[in-house]
Amino acid sequence: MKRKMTLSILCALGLLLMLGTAVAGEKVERTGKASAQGVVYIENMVGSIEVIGWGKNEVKLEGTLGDDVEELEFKTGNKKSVIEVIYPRKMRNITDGAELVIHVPEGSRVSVEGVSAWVTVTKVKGQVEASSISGDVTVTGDCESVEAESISGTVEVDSGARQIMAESISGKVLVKGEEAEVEAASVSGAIQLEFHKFLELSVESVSGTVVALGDLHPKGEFSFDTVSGSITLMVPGDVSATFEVTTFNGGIDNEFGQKARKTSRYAPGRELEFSMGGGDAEVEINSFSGDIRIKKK
Amino acid sequence: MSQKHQNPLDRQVSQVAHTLRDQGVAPGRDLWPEIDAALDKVEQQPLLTRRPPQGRMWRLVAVAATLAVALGLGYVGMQGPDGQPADLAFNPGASFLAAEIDPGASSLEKLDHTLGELNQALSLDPENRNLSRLVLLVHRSRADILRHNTLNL
Repeated sequence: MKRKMTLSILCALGLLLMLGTAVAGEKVERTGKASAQGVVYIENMVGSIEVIGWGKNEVKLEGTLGDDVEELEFKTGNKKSVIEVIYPRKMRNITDGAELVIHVPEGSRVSVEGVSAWVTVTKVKGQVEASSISGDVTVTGDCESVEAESISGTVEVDSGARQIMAESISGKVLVKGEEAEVEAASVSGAIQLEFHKFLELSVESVSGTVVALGDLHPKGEFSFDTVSGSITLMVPGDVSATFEVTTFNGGIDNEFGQKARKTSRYAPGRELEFSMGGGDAEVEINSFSGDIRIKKK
Repeated sequence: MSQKHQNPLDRQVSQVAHTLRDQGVAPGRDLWPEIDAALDKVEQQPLLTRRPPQGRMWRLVAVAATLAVALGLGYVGMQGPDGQPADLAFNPGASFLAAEIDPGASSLEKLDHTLGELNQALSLDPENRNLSRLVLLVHRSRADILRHNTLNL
C-alpha cells in the first residue's frame, strides 16, 4: 500500500514537472494575412524580438513564451498588424519573457518596442522604428528610413536608408551606410559613423567619443557638438567644404594643414576656419574640452 | 588688436586692468610686454619641434618609457576575449567630464557638474553661441535621463 502511494506521488510530481517545463518554454506559432505595405507594431518587454522582411504578404510569428508571459496578442490585417506580449500588470520583476522571430512583408513599416529586450530588424524595405531601454538594437538592410534608439544598449545600423536617426544614452551608436541624412546622438556612449557620403549630418554627445568617416555632399550641412568627447572627422582629400571649428578648452589637429588660432590671450580656446575645393559643404565642429581632429581619408 | 575686434574675455580682462590702474593699484612696471613676447614665442614654435632644455632630456625619456609601458599594459587590458579591442579606437579625454555616464542618479550629478562648468565658461564669454548650444545639449541630455528614470519607476 505504502509503495503504491509513493509511486503515485512520484508520478504526480513527474507530471507536474513536465507541465511546468512546457509552460516555461511554451512554443508558439501564428500566421496571418497582411498587406505588402501595411504597418506592423510589435511590443515585447523582456526577451528578444527578431523581425525579418520576406516576399510573402503575411505575418508569421514563431517563438517561445516564458513563465512570466500572461498572454500573446496576434492580430493581422490589411492596414495594421499588432503583435504584443502581455505581462501581468502588477508584476515588478519580469525575468522570463518571450523570444520572438517574426517574418513580415518586406515593404511594411515596422515599429518595434522592447524594454529589456534585444531588438533586431533585417531585410525590411519600409520605414523602421526600433527601440529598447536596456537591450541592444540592430537594424540592417535597405530600409526607407531608420529610427533606432536605446537607453543603455548598443545601437547598430548598417543600412542603405536615406534617412537614419540613431540614439543611445550610455550605449554605443555604430552606423554604417551609403548616402544618407544622418542624426546621431548619445550622452556618454561612443558614436562611430561610416558612410560613402553624408547628405546631411548632425552629431551630438556630452562625453562620448565621435568618429565620422565619409564624403560630404556639396549642398549639405554637417554639425558636430560635444562637451568633453573628442571628435574625429575623416573626409576625402579633395573634399569641397568650408570648416568652422571651435573648442573652448580642447586641441585642434588638422591634416589639411591650416593651423588653429587662440580665441583669446587669456583663455585656452582655439578656433579654425578654412575652405577646401570650392568650399561648398558647410561643416561646423564645436567642443567644450574634447579634442578635434580633421583627417584625410 | 583694436578694442572692437577683441574677444569678449579679452575686453573684460582689459577693462579690469584699466580699472585697477585707474584706482591706483598698477604694478611697479608694465609686465605685459615680456609676458606677451614669451607667449608669442611659444605660439610660434610648432608643437612637435619645441625642444626642452638639454638637462631635462633624460627625465622626458624616462617619462616616455613609463608611459609606453603603461599604455601597453592598458592596451592588453582593453583586449576582448577574442583578442579584438574591447572598445573603439579613440578614447574620450581624461577629464572628469569624460567619465562614463550611466543612466541614473550619478549621471545626473555628472551632468549637473558639466552644466556648472559650462555656465562658468559662459559667464566669462556670454556671447559665445557655441557654449550656449552645448548648455542646451546638456539640458536635453538631462531631460532624456529624467524621462528614462521616470519610465523605470
